[in-house]
Amino acid sequence: MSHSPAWLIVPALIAPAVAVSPAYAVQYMTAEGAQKQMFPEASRFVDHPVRLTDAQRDLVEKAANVRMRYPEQPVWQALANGKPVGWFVLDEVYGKHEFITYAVALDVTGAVRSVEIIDYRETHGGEIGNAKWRAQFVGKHHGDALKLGDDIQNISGATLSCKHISEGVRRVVAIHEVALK
Amino acid sequence: MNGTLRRTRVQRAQPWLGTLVEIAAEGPSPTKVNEAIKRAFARVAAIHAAMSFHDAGSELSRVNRHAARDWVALSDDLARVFGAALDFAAASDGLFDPSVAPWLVETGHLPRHPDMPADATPGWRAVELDGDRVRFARPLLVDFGGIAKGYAVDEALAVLRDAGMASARVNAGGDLARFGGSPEPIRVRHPSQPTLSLHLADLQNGAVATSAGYYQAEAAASPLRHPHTGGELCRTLSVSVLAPTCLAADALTKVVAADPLCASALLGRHGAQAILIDPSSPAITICDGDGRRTLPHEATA
Repeated sequence: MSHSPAWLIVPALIAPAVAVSPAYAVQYMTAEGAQKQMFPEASRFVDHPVRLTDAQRDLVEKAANVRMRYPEQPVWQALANGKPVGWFVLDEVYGKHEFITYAVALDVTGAVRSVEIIDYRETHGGEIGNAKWRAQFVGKHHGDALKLGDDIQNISGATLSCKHISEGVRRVVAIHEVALK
Repeated sequence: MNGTLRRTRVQRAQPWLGTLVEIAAEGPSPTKVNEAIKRAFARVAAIHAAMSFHDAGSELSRVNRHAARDWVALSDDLARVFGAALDFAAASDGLFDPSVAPWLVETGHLPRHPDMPADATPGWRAVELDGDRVRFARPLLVDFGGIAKGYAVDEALAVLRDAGMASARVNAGGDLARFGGSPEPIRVRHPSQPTLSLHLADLQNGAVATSAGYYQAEAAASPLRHPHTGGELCRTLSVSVLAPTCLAADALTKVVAADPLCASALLGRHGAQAILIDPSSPAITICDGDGRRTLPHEATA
């Protein structure tokens, strides 16, 4: 099969009715799917939510230099043949333009094994504070995630910084340090 | 899905290269597709580890620290990207310049590493590349922010092709390449309304990269600079380049943004086309080896 370059600059670009997508949203996998991808050796995931005390929360915020938004963090312990092989942590971050749910796999020592995006959506700023809009995400932690269209995926120049994810991963590592060791 | 031909499509995303890298592939079974995507992400991770300017422990940081004093041996990946970056710098007479990092350190777009030369100034001609080793004639800070993403996208796509995927796409924060299947619509953000997107082209096999200043509007300055003057680029202009490889598309966006008039010959040499969208103008400019032409565009902001 030849893979010679082929593209066509779309005439529609110059027509008055330019296609505009109001926002960009994609679901990559469910939390359960991410568990299987990130811990293929695991046979069981035990629910192990972490609720931090005020003192622990201060420690995490100091160590990670990031604010803790939620008092409870959804965490599962991954077990292979009854033996712990690591932690699966769900987290979400949002910036001015994006809202991202992602998972972090930590090994038994707390080192990051992998990071996988669960879903990603861009926003028109302002929506974040809207309770009704935020309510869409309730329940996502339990795997019954939203079904999102994937016909709006090929965006060139979608450069949003992953700064918030980097900060979130730092926070997850700090949570392990103070509450899962 | 047509008839008896069963294929599985998987799409995943991970944070690498300072952005989100999205990989989608279609192949014979979920296991095979996931395995191929895993290997493609591992390739991206290796390139990220070698070429990160932010990570003081990366191979590139070691080069920046030592190459002004002595030859530094390069991995195959870094040698290839150094070679490609110098080729683009020479062919564009420095409009593409991998040594402008000192400006970006100054504006805070790149971190300042205390153990790296503080007296570095831009000047790609001071890079001396000899096969798989490099040295600098004077202190430099090299950053492959303008080309490493494109390289990583090409390499990840090669992994997916070698794994026998029927079609695949890799998108590293807007540096995108794909092969196989039917042509897919490529969209680009509207330069002044980034939550809106314009349908730019239909792409089957090849790559596209976009440089634009959106989401930088709140920042003190755009990270895209004119290498000859240090002036900011792409405050409002959006430049997309379609090319056979993502490395070429990535590097060429910088050349076109710096000087669309001079870019024509270089675009032609790479079989590439550039599309410029200026929100303040009622026209879209297409630029390639045949020169420039302007198309009317009524959907202005």
